[in-house]
Amino acid sequence: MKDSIPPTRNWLDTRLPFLRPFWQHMAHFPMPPVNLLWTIGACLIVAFGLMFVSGLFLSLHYQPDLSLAFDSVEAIERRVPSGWLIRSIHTGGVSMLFAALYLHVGRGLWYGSYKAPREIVWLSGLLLMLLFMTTAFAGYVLPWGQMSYWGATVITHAVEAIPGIGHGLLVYLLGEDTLGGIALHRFFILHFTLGFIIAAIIGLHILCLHGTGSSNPTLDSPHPDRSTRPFAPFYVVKDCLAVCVFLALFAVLIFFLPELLGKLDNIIPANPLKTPADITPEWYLAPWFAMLRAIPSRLGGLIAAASSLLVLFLLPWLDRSPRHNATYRPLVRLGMGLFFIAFITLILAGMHGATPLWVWLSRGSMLVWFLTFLVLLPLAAYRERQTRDASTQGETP
Amino acid sequence: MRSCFRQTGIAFLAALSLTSISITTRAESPAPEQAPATQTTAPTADPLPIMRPEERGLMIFQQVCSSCHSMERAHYGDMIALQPSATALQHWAQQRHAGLESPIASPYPSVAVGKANNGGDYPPDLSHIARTIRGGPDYIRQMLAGYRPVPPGVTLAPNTYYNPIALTHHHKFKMRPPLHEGMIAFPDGTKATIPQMANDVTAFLQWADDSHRHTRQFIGTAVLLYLALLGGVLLALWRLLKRTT
Repeated sequence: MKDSIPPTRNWLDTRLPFLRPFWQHMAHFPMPPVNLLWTIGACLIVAFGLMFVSGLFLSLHYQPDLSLAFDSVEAIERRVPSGWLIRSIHTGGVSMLFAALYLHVGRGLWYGSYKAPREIVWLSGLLLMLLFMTTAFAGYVLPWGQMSYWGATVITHAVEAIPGIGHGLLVYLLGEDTLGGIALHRFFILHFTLGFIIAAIIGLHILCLHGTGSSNPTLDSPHPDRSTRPFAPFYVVKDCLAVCVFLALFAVLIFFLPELLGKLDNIIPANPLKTPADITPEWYLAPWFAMLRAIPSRLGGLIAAASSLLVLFLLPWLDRSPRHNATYRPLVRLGMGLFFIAFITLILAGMHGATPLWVWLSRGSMLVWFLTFLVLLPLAAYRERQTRDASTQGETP
Repeated sequence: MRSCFRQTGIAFLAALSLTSISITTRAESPAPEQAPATQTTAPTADPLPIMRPEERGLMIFQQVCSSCHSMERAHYGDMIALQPSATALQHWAQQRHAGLESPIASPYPSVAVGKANNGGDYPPDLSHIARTIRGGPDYIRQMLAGYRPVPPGVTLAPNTYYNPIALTHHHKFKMRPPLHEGMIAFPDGTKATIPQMANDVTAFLQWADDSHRHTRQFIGTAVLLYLALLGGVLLALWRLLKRTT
């Protein structure tokens, strides 16, 4: 061991010798010729960061108590300095985060990013999506307005549909028979804690990605491009540019179109005796609300909504074709296209009343959802494996 | 022009002080040239203070609306943004047996008393009425100026008033006509006509529902300009790197 410190190293590098290799890995990380959809991950990190920081500041002023919760939110809006700004970043950020999240997952589906060797990247990403959905749901309860209360009542009572243990489980989770102070406190703890858990899993997600590298969208094309560029500076600048556009959209939403976000019923304090005219979820959870409603049996709806998410976890094994990019897989292109339409239909269905039209549209969309992933994708993969195409076998790391 | 300075101030504060430890918005709100001395006295020959519609609306709310309606989500002290004299606000709050830190509660001791005094309908809370009522601010403005003499052939029950604009009860409207010509002497010399007061009180109710609208739009514009500048630089850099690396 040499005791003298080499002059080229700075103070921190000497004490934390892994820092330099780490930064070098990040800077030289080879990136295939990816398109602009690959910048959404960076936008998501920024969106999460904003949510995390604004959430921490909000938690300084929020009071998770039945009699104080609503007023503490009004106090943040009216009396806490810049409170309205921090809160609008938080309430608008959730829509921006989910919009980016669904685009990010949609990009993964279209370009086959779930396939070997990126299964863990895909699975950790799906886990993140589930955690984000839980966090968003718990967070929406906190202001304790009418829609918070009744939305939470509808969703928590879906648990009751589980045969045998349903009611007991519900009472155990809520801490009492109905949604009240104990549940509100628990929702706050859940919402607060999940932020940190998500931060850790985002780290894992990126770590897994750096194990295998980004997928290359051109490999299945007639002219595959196997060239790579180091991450810095080209992709750093590209990501920053995308983040800049993302933040501009974010700003337009929270500063100029705030009425798009706030539900009117949520500026009325929760009243367990008065049901609002129609209970609608936020758009990002609407697809699963539509599924719960589309199936007449409560248990059936719960199973359908849960399996629609679980089926995504199976994708790496349902689609074992060596081809990745749906652009060059006619059958998958059709299926994914239909799935995206079905997803948007489900969002709209969940936000509209339970009229026969929307109920049948959600049923059709659910059919498309499951047929695409359980039938069409394995079928396409089987056919593609039969007709071996040497040019796209496997992928160079 | 004056409110422009105020917005700039608030915007900078908001942008710089994302934490809660900084100076309160309340403290920096009163603009220095806004002399509060004439606020409570009759208008003098001096140059009249310029009043925003919501500031006149607050006067109407204090003297008229709040004798039946509550504004529970707001505190008396929150009105410092519209009425820079803390003493005047303190005085108003004390008249109602409250302090600056208390919510603007209903003057009625109970819902039953409130109903009994208003022909059976409880006067709704006004905190967010501009957003929650069907028709929004436009409805409020027209409804307040919408009282008409009872046309022949229409009989009204006791304690009901004829207002063809009001959405409720098929012209059996329980709110007494709140506004009367010249009922308030505005320090800025504005004539207190019914349409003028309806307009001012609507502006006040919109402010009470969403006090940060102007600041928000100002910050939004600043943020977008900044991002446009940054985006332009990044775009140029990206195109340069595309050619060279």
